[in-house]
Amino acid sequence: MKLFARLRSWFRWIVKPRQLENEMETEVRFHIESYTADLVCKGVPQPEAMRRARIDFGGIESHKDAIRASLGLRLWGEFVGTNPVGKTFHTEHTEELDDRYEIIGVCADAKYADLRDDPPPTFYVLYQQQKDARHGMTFEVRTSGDHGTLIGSIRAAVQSVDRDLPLIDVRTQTEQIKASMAPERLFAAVTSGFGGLALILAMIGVYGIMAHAVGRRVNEIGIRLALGAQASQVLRMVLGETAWLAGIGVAIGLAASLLLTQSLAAMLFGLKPTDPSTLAGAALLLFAIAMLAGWGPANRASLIQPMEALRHE
Amino acid sequence: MGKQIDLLQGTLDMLILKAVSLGPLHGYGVLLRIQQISGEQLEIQQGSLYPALYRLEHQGLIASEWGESDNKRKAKFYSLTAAGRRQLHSETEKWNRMAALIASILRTTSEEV
Repeated sequence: MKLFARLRSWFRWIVKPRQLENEMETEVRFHIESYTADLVCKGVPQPEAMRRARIDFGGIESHKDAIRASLGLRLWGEFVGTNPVGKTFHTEHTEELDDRYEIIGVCADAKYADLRDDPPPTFYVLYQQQKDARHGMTFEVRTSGDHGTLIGSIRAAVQSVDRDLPLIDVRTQTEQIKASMAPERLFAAVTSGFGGLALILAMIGVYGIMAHAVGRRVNEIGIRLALGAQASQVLRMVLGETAWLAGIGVAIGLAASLLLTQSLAAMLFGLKPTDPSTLAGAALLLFAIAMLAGWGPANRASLIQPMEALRHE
Repeated sequence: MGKQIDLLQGTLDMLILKAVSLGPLHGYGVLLRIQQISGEQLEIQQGSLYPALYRLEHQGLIASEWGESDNKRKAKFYSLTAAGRRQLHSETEKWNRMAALIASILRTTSEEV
């Protein structure tokens, strides 16, 4: 119920910001006029009553601002559907200082602290107007030439501003991107490596088991062929057994991965641990590799000559 | 009239809920009623009234409707919702418990410790 009221309230602010702004204005003006009227009733002369009401109540705009702030609407509710350039706002930190920011332009959303997070509500401040640079500043220098030779001139430029100013952590954007993605890339490389290794092991395993099984059943297969079985039937039989083996392996693997990848969720981006196409793809690949591994023994079984097989013992 | 005292922080919401629980009121009416009930002893910052009203409405604790004031003017009237009534009830209880507790602490004499 409360949630519903909240959603409805937000919705109204998004859809009808103009109407709500007008209502707010009407309501606040009604307050001031009622207050003035009451003062007049108490014997205060009209002009003096109006003056006192305005002083006691404070600015209408500041009231409206406070209302928006109480709803968390100051930044965007105010600017929805309007051109924000030229308007001003302040933040929690600058409110007491009575410092206001003027909007001089609007830019697109951009990821900020973390690639995984949605772009946060962000405003950028001109660096010349930055009052607090305790944590240092990051400059982006664009060059078409060799960036190695550029560092010297950048350092010289910094030194010319202040000899004691250190220039640290110089890197190219490519390096920066690589560094910020390094854990993920390493993790992906390691897990792919292990995955590939597991696939090869599975292939060797399936091949070994099927070759062994066919080897042990040369006699039986020879008799089947002698009694009229077609080579293709033998082939299908051995492949069918391979498919069973692979199927059981895939089923166990899927169940295990559904359990284990839950703990991996934090490392994934834009992907759920239970992503159907990824799981299906991996299962299909494993199955195909197993069938490929089973093909050799199956083919060999179908080429068995009945006479040789019977003489085999 | 005694000396006016400032409102304790965090109690305005509770007082607004109480005021509109006695009948629908416009914003200015809320202010008047609280002052009237308190025997003109409570000073409410006018600047904090409307943010609180909008916040309470946003939270679904009060509802608003446009109507006509005594002086035939268009005004926004606030009334208590069911959720607001529950909230007022629990806040009142909490306040009474807290007040009793603080009072008993302040009454404590050295012999009792």
